[in-house]
Amino acid sequence: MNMSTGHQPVTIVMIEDDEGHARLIERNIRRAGISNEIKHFSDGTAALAFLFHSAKGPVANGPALILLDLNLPDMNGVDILARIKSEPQLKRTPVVVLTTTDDKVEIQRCYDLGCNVYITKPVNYESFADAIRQLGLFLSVIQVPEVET
Amino acid sequence: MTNAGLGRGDPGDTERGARTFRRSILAVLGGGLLALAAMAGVAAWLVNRAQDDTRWVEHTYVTEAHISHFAALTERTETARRGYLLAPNEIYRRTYDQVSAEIVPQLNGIAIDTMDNPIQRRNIFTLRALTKQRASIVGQMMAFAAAGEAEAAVKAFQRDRDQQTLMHIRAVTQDMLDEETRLLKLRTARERDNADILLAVVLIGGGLLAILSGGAMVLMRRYANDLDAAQSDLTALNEQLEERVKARTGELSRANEEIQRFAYIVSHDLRSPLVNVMGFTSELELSLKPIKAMVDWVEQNAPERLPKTVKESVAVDMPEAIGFIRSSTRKMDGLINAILKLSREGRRTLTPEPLVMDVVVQGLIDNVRHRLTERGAQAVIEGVLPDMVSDRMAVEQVFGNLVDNAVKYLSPIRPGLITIRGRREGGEVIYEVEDNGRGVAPGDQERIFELFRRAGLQDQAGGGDRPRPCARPYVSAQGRHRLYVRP
Repeated sequence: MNMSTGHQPVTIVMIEDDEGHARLIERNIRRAGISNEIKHFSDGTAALAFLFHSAKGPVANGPALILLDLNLPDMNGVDILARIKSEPQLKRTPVVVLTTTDDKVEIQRCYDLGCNVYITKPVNYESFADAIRQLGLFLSVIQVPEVET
Repeated sequence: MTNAGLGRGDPGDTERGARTFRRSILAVLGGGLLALAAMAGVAAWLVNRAQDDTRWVEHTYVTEAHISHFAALTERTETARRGYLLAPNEIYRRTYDQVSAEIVPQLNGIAIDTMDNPIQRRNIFTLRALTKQRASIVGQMMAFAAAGEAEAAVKAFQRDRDQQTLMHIRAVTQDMLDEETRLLKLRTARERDNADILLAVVLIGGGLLAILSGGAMVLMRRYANDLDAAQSDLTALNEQLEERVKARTGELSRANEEIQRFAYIVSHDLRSPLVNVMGFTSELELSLKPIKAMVDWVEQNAPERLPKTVKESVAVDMPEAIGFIRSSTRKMDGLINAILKLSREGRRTLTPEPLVMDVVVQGLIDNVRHRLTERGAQAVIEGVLPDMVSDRMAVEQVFGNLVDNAVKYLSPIRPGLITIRGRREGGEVIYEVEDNGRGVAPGDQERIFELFRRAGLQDQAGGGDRPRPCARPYVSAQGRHRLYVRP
């Protein structure tokens, strides 16, 4: 399965500092049958540089989906979310927040800022894998908007 | 924080000041009283003396009058004598007799008046002699005139002796009057002096009193100032105290927040690796499946090629290890969640409201109703529970945990009975949740208020089935908790 809108494939941008989590997420995405390119960034600075300035990034080069962890070493994921959602060229890019926090206030804040899906990383691996698989289904049905050039 | 700049606030100082003030004011008042008494004494003495002086002055006036009267009587005898000599009329003679009869008693009176004065006594003595002498001369002359020997009478009159006596009497009388005048002057002067002294005494006494009252006023003012200063010091100290309490409270709440943040972060950071442990355990399990399939295939097709250890590893050891990793991770996850929950509860601000405790507790009992009937136990509210004003969630948590634990740890040897009762005692409301469960050993009684602890037989231990902590953060925030255990 490959998600795409028209001819352009959707790039999955994963911003996750924990290598283990990144690997688990990737494995599960693959296991769910999604073969899109996954770009992994383990800190916010590099991720923002890619999102906003890279020639291969979503601003210049086609649709993307962002998986965002909130606990990053260099900045708060919420700030990244806010910046993505306030950038006209990125604000329609779906953002899936994936984090260990199940704090109601934090979840509310993410939705307020425009996050599309909030998934708590459960320790119970089965439900986590389920969540990722459902994310795959979600990815296959979402309407990624045409990026204006 | 020190209480610098509060030197005046020393209580010993104030007390000493008060004692000094009391002693000073007593001294001043005593001095004033003494001065007043002295003044009154002196004034009384002076008034007494003035009265005395006045009497003496009066006495002098009377004496003077008496002497003058004596002089007048003498002159009248002279006039009567002369008249008789010129015309020996009986009227003149009677007049002479009458008047001369008054002279001696008059002289006697003056003698009594002037007894205290030696000069006057001497004068009186002279006057008596002269008067007597004159009386005899004049008597003789009158006798001549009566006998018709006018010639002899006139001759006798013209003789110098009688005139001299009269002159002498006049001179002595004048002397006496002069003496009395001198005394009068003396006594009047003394009277004036008395008045002056009295005035001086009154002025001095008044001045002294004024000074003493001034001193007293100064003392009072100083004391009042000291009191004011002490008062303001006290106020300042109070304000400082309030500030200090505020500061301490701030520090405490900061520390508390820090702990909560710490708990939050720790539970968070602990969860992160746990996700990996659990996730990769599952990955291992998944990887194990093809290996197991292969081992099974080899066992079926070429059992001689399969070492026994490999078979055991794949079939028993590895699944067992994975199972342990998994159950431990689940347990750890539960603990971390509990810490997280606790940190959130600690962060809650309590909002007190009036609670109808019967309704609150009955609601909690209804929540565990099915578990109670399942286990043949019952929970009852004994009598009517006193109401209180408190945070609803906190109260529900405390009573809920107590009831929950009671249900969880019923004694297997008797039907469970949970009794909830309450009473008002002074300013306190006391609630008791009693159960006939397995009880708590004396050594464990403090531990049951600790987090994640359970005492006694652990036969109910299932995964995640943990007695809830008795919500000490809530109980401690609002009151005291006590545990009674009856066998």
